[in-house]
Amino acid sequence: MEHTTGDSMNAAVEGWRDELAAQGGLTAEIRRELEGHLQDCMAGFQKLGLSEFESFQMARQRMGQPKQLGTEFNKAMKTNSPWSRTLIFGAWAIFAVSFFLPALNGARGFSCALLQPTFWQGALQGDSFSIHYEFLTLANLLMLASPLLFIGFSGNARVLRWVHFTAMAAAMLVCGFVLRLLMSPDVSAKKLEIGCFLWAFSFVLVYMAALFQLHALRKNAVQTHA
Amino acid sequence: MYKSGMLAKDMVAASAKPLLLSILAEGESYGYEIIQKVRELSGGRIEWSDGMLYPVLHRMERDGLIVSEWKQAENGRERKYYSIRPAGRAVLSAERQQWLTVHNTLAKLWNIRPVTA
Repeated sequence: MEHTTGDSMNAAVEGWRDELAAQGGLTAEIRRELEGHLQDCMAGFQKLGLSEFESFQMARQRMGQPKQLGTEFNKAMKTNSPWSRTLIFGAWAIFAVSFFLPALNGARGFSCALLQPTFWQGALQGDSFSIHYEFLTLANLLMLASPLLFIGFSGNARVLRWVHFTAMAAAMLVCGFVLRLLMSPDVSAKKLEIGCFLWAFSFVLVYMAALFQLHALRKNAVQTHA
Repeated sequence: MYKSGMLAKDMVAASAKPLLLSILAEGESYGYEIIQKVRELSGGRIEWSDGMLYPVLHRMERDGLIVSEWKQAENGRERKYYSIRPAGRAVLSAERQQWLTVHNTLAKLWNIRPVTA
């Protein structure tokens, strides 16, 4: 049985820690968890009669190569689609800019967005156009929250699925409203301008961002579990 | 992803999620204990490379199937314990159905008694 001094043992463990720390994908918490596993594993081997150093060597071998561990963690945890973040911030920028551009009959986007009280009466009386308009507030709120949703839950498939369906509903609601305006028999309502189209386009971009991110998650899940 | 002497690599990888969820459905556990349990239950035929268990556990936690918590173990050291979440139980139920479908189909072909869900 091979024996070694406490100093060499400490140096060997320290070397293993340094190798782990050199891997980009392994955070301090992951390294703490892996070291806990190494110690459990060493204790198991020592119970079987191996020396401390032999137990360390065996446990280290069972843990696998630090480089491979880092690669596996990177593969498992990095799931951001290269497109989704660009799309979501692009959508938000377009959405914000659209509020300051002429949108309808010369009125800027923010003026159109502040017409809720006008349409509220119509909505209460069951006018479908007014109800449609009031629902746009929900779509705008989703758009305002979208960057936070994507940053906070980019890896959570359940939340992303919800965001994906909600973004699809919002895009349909917004594009449907623009189509209604375009098809309205009222000539004055047809004077839609760039702000209105950019506003509607920003919702399509959010939907596409959710779609890309979900696809990236699914692709990654297949690679990780395969 | 895994080292496997007896079971094919693809089978070991495909069974990782249902195995982990099934073990955690029995109660909270930690990495080393999970690996020991799989080794024991499979009679050593399912052999995971220890470190490779953790990316799968972390991935499952991020997907909302399991949740982890640092706790003090009986030996005084802190350990990260994993437990199953309701979403994990739902996925386990679906996985169970799928594995039993495969098992029962093969059982009929090989004239082995099928298993009821």
